Amino acid sequence: MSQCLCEGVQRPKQSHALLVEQGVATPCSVKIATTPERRFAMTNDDCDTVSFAGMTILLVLCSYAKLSLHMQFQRREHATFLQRDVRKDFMTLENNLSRTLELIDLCFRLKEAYIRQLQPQASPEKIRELIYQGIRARKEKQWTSPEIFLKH
Amino acid sequence: MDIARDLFETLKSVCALLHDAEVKCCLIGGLAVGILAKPRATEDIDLLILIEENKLPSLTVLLKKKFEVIQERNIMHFEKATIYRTILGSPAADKTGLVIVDFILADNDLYREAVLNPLNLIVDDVIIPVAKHEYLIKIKNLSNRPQDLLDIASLKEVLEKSGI
Repeated sequence: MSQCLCEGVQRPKQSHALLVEQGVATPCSVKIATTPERRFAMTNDDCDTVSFAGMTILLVLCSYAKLSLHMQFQRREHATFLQRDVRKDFMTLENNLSRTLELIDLCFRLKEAYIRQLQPQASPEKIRELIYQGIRARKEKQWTSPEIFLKH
Repeated sequence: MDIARDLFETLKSVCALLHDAEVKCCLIGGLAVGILAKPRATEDIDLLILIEENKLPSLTVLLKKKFEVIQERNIMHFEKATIYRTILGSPAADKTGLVIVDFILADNDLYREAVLNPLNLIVDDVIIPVAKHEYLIKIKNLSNRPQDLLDIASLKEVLEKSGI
């Protein structure tokens, strides 16, 4: 515990010593050394500590500041974690979209191959036309089916 | 032929068009299930759209800015949904394909809520709004067809895994 030169003069020794120990005040000697002419005529202004009531407030504020920093840090960590999670989720969705498109692509490539096998003489344009006709026909069937009217 | 590319390019173009026109929409149907749950094949695009029925002609005008509108069916009224069906020419450079896009009007509370609270997926700088799992499940529940039941099961599986 640092020696306090103002002890017994203006402040309760314990208050200043505690603040010095906690690093929120410098020992009087340090400050007084910068004002040597007042070395032996100390007033409240010369002592760089605070009153007991002030110290309590300071300590409470310090505690809050520490707690707040801790909470902010925690929140930030949490936010980073959440961001990472959201990013991961969106990557999954993008991957799903790619796989869905690949699947659709695969289905129609297989259909193309199937039609080509059924009609080897058909041109690629004809095969394309047949596939699109199929898509439209299936849709038409869906739309005109009484079941759809009941379900929708 | 590249149906997957046509679907994807059409989806992006329609979403960009609607976004620029400040018309709220979100993806539902097979593509949405493919994205949110188990990837699965589909042949069309189903978009839930927040627009009044009497404003649909302006939607057609909007679509014609970017697409060849091959067919625009009359609006179809069902008990639980009003659907405006279009067949659009593919926006791809060769323009040989066609894509069926069903616009389902968000004319009830569930649809409106789904449109207003989507998951925004950004792909190639385009925002693709996708209906969230919970809304998609409720929407699929309304239709309740065999495919819808399978979709609901895979959506629920994802929800259970994520612990939501």
